[in-house]
Amino acid sequence: MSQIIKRRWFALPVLLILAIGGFLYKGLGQDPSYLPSTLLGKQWPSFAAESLYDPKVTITKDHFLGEPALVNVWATWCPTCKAEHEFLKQVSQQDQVSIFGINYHDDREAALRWLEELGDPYKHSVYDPDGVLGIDLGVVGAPETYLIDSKGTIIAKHIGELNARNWLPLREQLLALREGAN
Amino acid sequence: MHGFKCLLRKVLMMLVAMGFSTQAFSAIEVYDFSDRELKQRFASLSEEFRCPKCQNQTLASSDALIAKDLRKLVKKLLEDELSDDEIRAYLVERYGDFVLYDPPFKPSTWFLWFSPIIAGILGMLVILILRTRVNSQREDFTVNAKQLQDLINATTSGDKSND
Amino acid sequence: MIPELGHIALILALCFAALLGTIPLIGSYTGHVRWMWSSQPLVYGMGTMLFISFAMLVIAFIGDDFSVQYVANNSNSMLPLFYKVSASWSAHEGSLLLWILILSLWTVAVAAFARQLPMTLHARILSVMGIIAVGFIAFSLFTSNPFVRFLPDAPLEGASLNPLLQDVGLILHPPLLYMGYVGFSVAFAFAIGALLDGKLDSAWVRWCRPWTTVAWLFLTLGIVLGSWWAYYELGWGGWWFWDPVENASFLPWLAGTALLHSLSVSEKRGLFKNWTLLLAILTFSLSLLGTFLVRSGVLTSVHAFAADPERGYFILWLLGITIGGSCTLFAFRASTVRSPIKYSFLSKENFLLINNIILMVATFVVLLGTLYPLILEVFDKGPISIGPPYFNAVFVPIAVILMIVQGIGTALRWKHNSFSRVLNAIKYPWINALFFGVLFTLVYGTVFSWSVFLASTLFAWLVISSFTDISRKCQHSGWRKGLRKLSLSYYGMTIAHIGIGVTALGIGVVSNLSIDKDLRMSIGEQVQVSGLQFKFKSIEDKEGPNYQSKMASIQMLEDGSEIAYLRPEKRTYFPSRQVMTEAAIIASFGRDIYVAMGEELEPGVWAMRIHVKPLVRWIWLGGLMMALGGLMAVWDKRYRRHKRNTETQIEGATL
Repeated sequence: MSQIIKRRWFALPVLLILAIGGFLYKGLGQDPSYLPSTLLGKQWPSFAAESLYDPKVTITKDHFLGEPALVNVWATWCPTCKAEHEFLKQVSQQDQVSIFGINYHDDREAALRWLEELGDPYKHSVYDPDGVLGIDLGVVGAPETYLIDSKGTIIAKHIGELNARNWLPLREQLLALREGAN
Repeated sequence: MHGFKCLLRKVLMMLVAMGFSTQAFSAIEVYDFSDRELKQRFASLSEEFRCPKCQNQTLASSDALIAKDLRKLVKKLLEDELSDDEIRAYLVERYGDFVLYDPPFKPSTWFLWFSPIIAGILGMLVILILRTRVNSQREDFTVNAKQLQDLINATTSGDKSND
Repeated sequence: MIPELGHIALILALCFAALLGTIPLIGSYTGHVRWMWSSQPLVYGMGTMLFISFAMLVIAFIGDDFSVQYVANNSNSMLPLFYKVSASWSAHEGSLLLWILILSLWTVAVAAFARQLPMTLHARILSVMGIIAVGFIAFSLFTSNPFVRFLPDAPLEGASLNPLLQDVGLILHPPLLYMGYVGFSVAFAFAIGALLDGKLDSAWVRWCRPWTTVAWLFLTLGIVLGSWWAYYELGWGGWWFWDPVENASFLPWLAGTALLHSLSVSEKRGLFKNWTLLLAILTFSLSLLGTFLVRSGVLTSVHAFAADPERGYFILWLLGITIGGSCTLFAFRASTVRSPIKYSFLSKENFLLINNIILMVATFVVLLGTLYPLILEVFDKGPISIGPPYFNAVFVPIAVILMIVQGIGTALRWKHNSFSRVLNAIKYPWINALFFGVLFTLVYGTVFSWSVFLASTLFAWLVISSFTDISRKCQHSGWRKGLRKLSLSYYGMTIAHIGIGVTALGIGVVSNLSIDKDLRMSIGEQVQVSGLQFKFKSIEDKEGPNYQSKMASIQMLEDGSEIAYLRPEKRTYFPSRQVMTEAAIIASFGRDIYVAMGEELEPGVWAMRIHVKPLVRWIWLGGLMMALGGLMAVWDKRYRRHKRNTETQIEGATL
């Protein structure tokens, strides 16, 4: 008299668990706070800002063009920037790459003193005391490093400290850009 | 030995400092707006955006540097007479959908937006299917010995209270 | 020495747990009574060892033993004793140990108070809890040992406890929440026991029910306390943010609520037994999922512990084995016999079923919203954020439907109700509720708000339908006799149901009629907010045990006469120099006045945030009523009398 339920229905929860578990497993390998740039493959936003070295000089996007280059967002209040500073100098010499600096939310005097003391890896530094240029770039904090090609297209963005390990993939992209140009 | 101690202390201090940058709460700022309506729109917009740097906080509630910048930006855009949607688009263009606490409706979020409705319909279906089953059982309803026993058990051991 | 003792005790606890997870279980199959009874000493052994272990950790905190890494990272010699103790569960390692300690408390409770159970079932339940304990003790020992030392040289001072957590709320919130989370392990173990037995009778349900109710009421209290803590400590006046970690506690609550209701049908009518088992498994699974979300760093949240993928993988495996294993067991062992018991559409059974389905839809929606960013990340379509706008949009309609169904369900009898009877039973409550809603919205608010109307109508609907039901039950025997005849658990249910309405009204009103003002105030200035005057009298320096603070004195006046003084603070904690806002709150039944201090804009001029939050207390009051209702249900004679009866039976049998 009593009806029988087909047992295969009872397997549904197991399947559900497996699916959720799979997502969680994949998700564990990822950094949830990582915010990729929306500008990858797009043009560097045009801007006009003061030079860090001389308030009377205006720097525009054109200064960054001509060859593949790195753009580094930095500030004196940021301990990680200090940590990567030495490495930036090394990169600019060894790989013969131009690095442009964006001095982010900083004090001009403090920034100039810092460059004097620690050395200046930057071909040029833009002064961005209010983070206005930063917002156009989608900067969330310092340091961040962009790789752009000779025409100003943003190829890659690295958030956080640049070091020998995470420089490698960027370097490869840089070399590829140079080869493409030749 | 002493050097090691210093190093440890430095490491600890650094850990604390790192905690600090993400855990500053409650930004209380005063913005002067020309009119009430702008002020209200500012309040609701800054509740709607997520601070891109923080753990999980709105622009309104975060004290992070970037949140301050973005609040200033929202204020400026409001004063430039951009509409709410234009302001949303402006921020999404720079920071991606991540800044919106209200996820946009697009192919990757279809499932998110439709599934509550699907779940609701499925729920109703389950109720209906179970009903038809119970109804179909009723037709061949005959009391057998076991059920009778169950019934007796239920009435004798069952509680007399009404709940 | 002390930390090592704690460490050794933890290792011994692992051994006890391992034995507990095997010997009684094997005994239950081979029929060795001694093996089954070995669960008793093993449970007490495990409990004692975990107690010692946790006590050693607390002693290390009280004694400022900064050679222990966990102590050095989370405490400081300047910290008041109170917070030194609570700091022991303020971060991942210690709170995990607390989690395990509470698991052993529940296990001891089951060993001590559930002796009326058949011996094999009792042994199996305790073994299942032992197996869970093995997993978590191993997790603690292998990935998150709180007793690890800085060797050979220790820091002289600790980094201190996050000032946010230096609060009474933190002292109580995690223990209560864990009592709830972990308490569902008992229902889970009962379900596994029933599946292993292949037998689920109404006695099983009657035994399982009070344990589930107690766990649920602790979880309710934990959530209420957490929400209240966020409200006064975070300084932005919010009480719920749909943060992943908040959701992690809400999910088992939703499933646990469904479980309570399906248990009641299973007990009273012998229906939905498979479903009850599955819900018991699901509820504890969601507790475990919550633990995973908080501790693995897989989602970003304000409240999450420091992320460490290695821990994440460990706990995910733990989860996979526990949940996957129990679901597989369910798939093989659940009864395939469909219950022949009949009920019509208009019956309490069916409406409790609808209640369960609505709660499941709600659980699914919250779960999906919580995990969706992660799912998109996996498909590389992210990142996106899902916040209050989404959750409110999808959850509120579900909650509204649930409350409507809830009121109708209260009016229904078991088995069958005629349509006209139901219509008669709900007609007047509905009309009265709508009337109340209109009246309340017009009188209370300055403008007509549909949300307030909805909330107040639902509140009235739940209150009136509850009281109508009481009066209906007292109809025949007269009020005095009738009220006395109703059981304690019935009153408990009624109070909990009204609590839902109270919370809903609080949420509806505070979300729509709050007044928030961010103001620039100079000393001596007076401002007007919502008919009240606030006069900024002075600002002074204050010294705390481990902080310095700027304290403002704000006089609050109504029509020129003083009502109260508010003293919000801006504290700078040592040694981290973290700045915290201490809001000043004047709480009352009708409204909260909430004042928080911002920055000093120029000398003598401060940014101030003044909120007036009507009925905000009702949100938590409703939660307390639900917990009280749960307590009353457990206290009901029905469970206690039954226990005593069976105990005497067992004694009689063994004599």
